Amino acid sequence: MLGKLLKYELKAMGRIILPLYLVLILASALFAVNIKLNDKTQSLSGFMNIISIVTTILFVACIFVVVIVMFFLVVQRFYKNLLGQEGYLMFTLPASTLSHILSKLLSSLIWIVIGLFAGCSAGFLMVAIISDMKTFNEFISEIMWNLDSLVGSGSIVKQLGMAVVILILGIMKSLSEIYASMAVGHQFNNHRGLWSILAYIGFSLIELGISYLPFVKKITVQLTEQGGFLYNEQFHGTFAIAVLFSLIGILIYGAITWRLLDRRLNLE
Amino acid sequence: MSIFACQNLTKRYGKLTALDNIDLELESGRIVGLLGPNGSGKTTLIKLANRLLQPTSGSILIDGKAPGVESKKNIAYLPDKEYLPDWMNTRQLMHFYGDFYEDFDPQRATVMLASLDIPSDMVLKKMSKGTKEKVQLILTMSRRAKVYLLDEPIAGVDPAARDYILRTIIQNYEENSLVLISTHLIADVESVLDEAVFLKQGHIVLHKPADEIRTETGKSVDEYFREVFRC
Amino acid sequence: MEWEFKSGAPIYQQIVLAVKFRIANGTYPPGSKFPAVRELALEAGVNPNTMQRALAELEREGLLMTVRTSGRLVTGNEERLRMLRMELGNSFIGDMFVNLRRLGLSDEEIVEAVRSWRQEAADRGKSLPDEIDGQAGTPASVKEGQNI
Repeated sequence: MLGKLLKYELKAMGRIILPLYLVLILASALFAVNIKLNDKTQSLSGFMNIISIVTTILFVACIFVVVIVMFFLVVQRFYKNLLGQEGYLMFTLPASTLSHILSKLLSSLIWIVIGLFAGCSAGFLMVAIISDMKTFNEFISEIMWNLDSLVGSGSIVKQLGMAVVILILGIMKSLSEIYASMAVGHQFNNHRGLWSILAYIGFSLIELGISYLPFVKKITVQLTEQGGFLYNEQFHGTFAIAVLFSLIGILIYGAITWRLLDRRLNLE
Repeated sequence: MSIFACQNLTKRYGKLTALDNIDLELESGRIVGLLGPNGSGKTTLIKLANRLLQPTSGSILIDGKAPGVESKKNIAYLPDKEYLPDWMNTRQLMHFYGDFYEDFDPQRATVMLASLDIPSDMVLKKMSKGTKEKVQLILTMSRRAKVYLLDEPIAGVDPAARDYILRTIIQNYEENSLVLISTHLIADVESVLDEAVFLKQGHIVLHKPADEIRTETGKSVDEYFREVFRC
Repeated sequence: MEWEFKSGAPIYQQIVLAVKFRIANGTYPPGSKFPAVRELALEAGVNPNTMQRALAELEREGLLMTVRTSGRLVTGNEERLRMLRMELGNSFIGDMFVNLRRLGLSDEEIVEAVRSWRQEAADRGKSLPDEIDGQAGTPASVKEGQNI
């Protein structure tokens, strides 16, 4: 059932977000081409023509729109399809509550990752269009160096892999925090949206509070110090922290969401 | 063994008791009316059967199974709401139903949709309320389920559509299925009912064959209902 | 063809009566194939179980027969059909007597009234109406569930 639910979820989100991704890529290509063409003139006044202004605004606007729409889409899919009237359809399908939650989580994750990938590709494309070979190589090296400090030295594949893991787990934690907030908000009879927002703020504050607890701080310090007990050549403290924090968050928020949706559903 | 069985079923919302120790047994091959005014607990009972709610105490079993993934395979539910994703068209909705329900009969659905001239590529959002309701009914009744739970299928519907809905219910009658129609509009459905269950403020006050009510009281089920539920 | 059901009597009984009239007036001709339960239930707008009960009753009374491979048939038995017509006809007559008695006529006066009505109609050269108030069948007494 999860596969089927995921299929429909990907379609439902894709029909909104995919066109926007394509428009963003187009806008960034236009932006980059325009810069490249104006490069020749080497002066500010040459750049300030109407086309440049339009392509710049379009490009920036697209970024904003994609980010905002993605956020609303994530919330809307969960809220409208599970907690709204469509819930009468979804929760009477022969599928477990867990598969419903996972389908939303995975679909959002996949589309966000696709978006980031598209964004990175667009970024590389832009840099490639605009710059020359030397600048491009410097740009790549800069990125590599930053990755080093985040995940520790090692093969490039491993570094990229670790970065991807942190990213994905981080996204999943944020998503599950949003879902848990909505599940909590659903428990109230009135002003469910408001209660969901309050729940989200509450969760965020709790997370903040936990990170300041003495014993948590102790572990954090130990792990990030060069001589910490988990440190070795292959392993870097930051990575461990990020992964641990994310996993615990996903499990706790997931459990809250599951419990509330499975036992305390009250559609109307 | 009954296909629909409630035992000491109770549902409370805080201080409010929606269903109070309900005992009910229904057999296959019947069309049963769950009759009562608004707020009598009809929708609560149906939601409990669908696992949209959990009982406070007692049990409800559908074909011997507690409400869950397995029981949902055997239940065809028509809520009294617009519950379908409105961005889908009828073809996509039929694929959806076919995907998730093994007992969905796409041919039956196609024939019914065609007989009402509902195009397969029409998006739900663009349909009138009456047409949407018919689509929902057609999808539900195109399943060859063991239990059909219809919550107010004819409320707010014009007389011609009402006839269509009742004819569809009769046409779909199977010996191994139970159709449970929950409604407060008794006059329109009573000729279709085998049995009537009167639900009053969370209690079952009557469960009898419809013809028996008519014989014993000399009244129609609707008339007798009005008597029992007089304010 | 309209099926109309009244409130007080069990629906299956009303169906039995309606079918009897349709057999008697030739809507379902003698020896003909009788419609299937589901089809008839749909036409009448009733529960198939109710229809089945009515048809079973009609079988018991010898008006319908189940033939293994062909479903149901209307009886072709002339004697049985004659008895049916008498049974139905008597209910009309019974109705008439009830109504006229209510108006204060004695039984002899009623018989006399029937004769003179017939004579008068013949004198005026009028043909008899086939329908009363547009309904061919079901006498009032049967509609109200009374017995004579």
